[in-house]
Amino acid sequence: MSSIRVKGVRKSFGELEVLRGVDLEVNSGEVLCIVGPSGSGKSTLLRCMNLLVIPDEGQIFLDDVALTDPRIRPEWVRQNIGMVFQSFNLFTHLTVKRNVMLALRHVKRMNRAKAEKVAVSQLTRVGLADKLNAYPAQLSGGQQQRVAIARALAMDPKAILFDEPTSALDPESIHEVLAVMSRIGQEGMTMAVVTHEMGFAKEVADRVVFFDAGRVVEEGTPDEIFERAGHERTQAFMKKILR
Amino acid sequence: MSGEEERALPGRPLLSDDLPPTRRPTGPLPPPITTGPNVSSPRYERVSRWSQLSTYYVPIGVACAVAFFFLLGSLRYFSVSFVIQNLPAGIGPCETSLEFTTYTFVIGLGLAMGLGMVRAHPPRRDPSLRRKKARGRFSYLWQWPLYGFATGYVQAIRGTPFLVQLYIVFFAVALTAPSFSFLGWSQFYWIGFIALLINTTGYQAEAIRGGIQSVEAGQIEGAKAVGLTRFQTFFRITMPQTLRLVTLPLTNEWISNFKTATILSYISIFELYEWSSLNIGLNDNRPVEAFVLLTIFYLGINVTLSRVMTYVEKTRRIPGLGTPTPEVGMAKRLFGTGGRNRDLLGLGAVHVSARDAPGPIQGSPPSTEDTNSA
Ligand SMILES: Nc1ncnc2c1ncn2[C@@H]1O[C@H](COP(=O)(O)OP(=O)(O)O)[C@@H](O)[C@H]1O
Ligand SMILES: [Mg+2]
Repeated sequence: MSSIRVKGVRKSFGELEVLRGVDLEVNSGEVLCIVGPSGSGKSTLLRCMNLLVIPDEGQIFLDDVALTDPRIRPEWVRQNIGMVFQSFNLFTHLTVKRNVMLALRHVKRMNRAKAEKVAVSQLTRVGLADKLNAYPAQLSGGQQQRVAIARALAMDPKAILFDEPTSALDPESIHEVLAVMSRIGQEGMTMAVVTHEMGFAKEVADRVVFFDAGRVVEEGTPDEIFERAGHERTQAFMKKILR
Repeated sequence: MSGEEERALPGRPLLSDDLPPTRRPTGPLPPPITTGPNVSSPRYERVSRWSQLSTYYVPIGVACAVAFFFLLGSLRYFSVSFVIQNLPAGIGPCETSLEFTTYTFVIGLGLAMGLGMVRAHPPRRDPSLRRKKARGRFSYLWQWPLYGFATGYVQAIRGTPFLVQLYIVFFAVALTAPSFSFLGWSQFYWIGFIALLINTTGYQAEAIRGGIQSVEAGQIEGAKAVGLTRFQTFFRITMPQTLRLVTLPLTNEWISNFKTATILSYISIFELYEWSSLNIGLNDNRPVEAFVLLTIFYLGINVTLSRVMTYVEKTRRIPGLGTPTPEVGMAKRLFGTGGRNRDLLGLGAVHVSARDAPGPIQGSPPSTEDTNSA
């Protein structure tokens, strides 16, 4: 596994300054939870980490490689840093198995048999061995999100980014997705998770970051952030969330 | 673009992040709700008796048409047997019409894919290009002439009558080129062919643009996020979905093209309309029969094609991908139920739309043999 380091990253969309100098580190094998109010730039920050958004300023490192170096291909970065979205973003026209196989075949250039083997084993890992030939629309939200996780895992990434992976789900599905994520975390994957699931953050996260208005306000262990937050904005946010 | 055309295109989803959780399709799709004479469930039997009539749209429609036909026959100036006797003579001209329509349609499809692709991507700076790369900032400017041409072309075709387009090609060619004949077709035929090709290309390009733009932005992001390049994303995600989404709109365009081809008679191309109005209407002095013959040919071919394509699309549909366009929805309502019931003639089960069903439908309806196995 690898670490991701974010150094002084700034990003504006037109007049709107979304990231105002972010410094952040996701250590190797660590689960980092990012919490913060809506619109504070958490998604933009994650999307900078796999170059779906190019930062205006600052640097991002995957281990020792500066991803912000123009010579680095964005496809290489995304192949090595997986991402799981709030809205799953599975390919509607492909079966579950082919959803997972697509990037293996055409990004990693595996042959069909090998890609299939990897896809089946990853789907089994997230508990979907019986849904290989279903289409995404035939699955529940929780199942779709687990396919998305399997799709990210199959690329054998050095880290995975989760952008509110359970925000679109019903309580039962939330549980099954969080269970899969906990297991991946325990198996040593480097993970950056934007979430509003405080229970998950408390139990699984190694560190929690409170993010507001384009900056890291506070960071610490889950206990420090949730129970003994030093900053008043953090306290106000926690009061709202933990009610 | 008028509102009407916009509506015909499959709706373009917002970035999926923008939707509130309740609007997002999460659960599995409920199986199609079907009921029919042999499905007994108290809940689904309460469908209104009028909607049951839709079972018999096709037989009723055919019966009405036949009745009208023979009613006409009772009039002094209309002969049923004359119409029937002259049907075979129309097959040759009908083939000419079909050739014009289909050849221009197929060649036009190839051209329209290019135009539609250009139209679906208005010039803008690629946000994933790095700012430091000098060529990044203005690299998209070359796209303007291309986009401008495609847009101008489509607007010109959709904004003018085909008759005008035909005459422009006609005089442009007739005044400049010496008369020629090529592959067994005279100059006039080639003029008609080119005009029709230009016309259908414009319309098909818009259908394809709509299809490309209705592929969810989220899926394109998903493809990028696993490391696919822009080209891989286009050819492996966007295009396959687009082709399915435009099946029915393109079927409509073929039908439209077939009907537009009647205008080729203005430059005396001997197609279906020219044959009927000249040979039957003028020479035989049987104008009513002439137009009844045309109705039989056009309606027979178009309704058959429309129903077959609706059926094919429905049976081969991938769950969650594609919705019927309004035009086909209308055709379906006029001529019976679609292929969801696997019932081409509309004689068996009734598809109950949400509007017809009593109260909100939750959970699975009673199962029937033919649900959702597609
Ligand atoms: N591609 C974009 N173009 C313009 N504005 C954007 C874009 N992406 C995000 N924003 C804006 O940036 C702000 C932060 O968004 P986001 O990172 O999604 O916040 P969060 O995930 O914390 O809710 C919002 O005001 C949003 O409207
Ligand atoms: Mg967000």
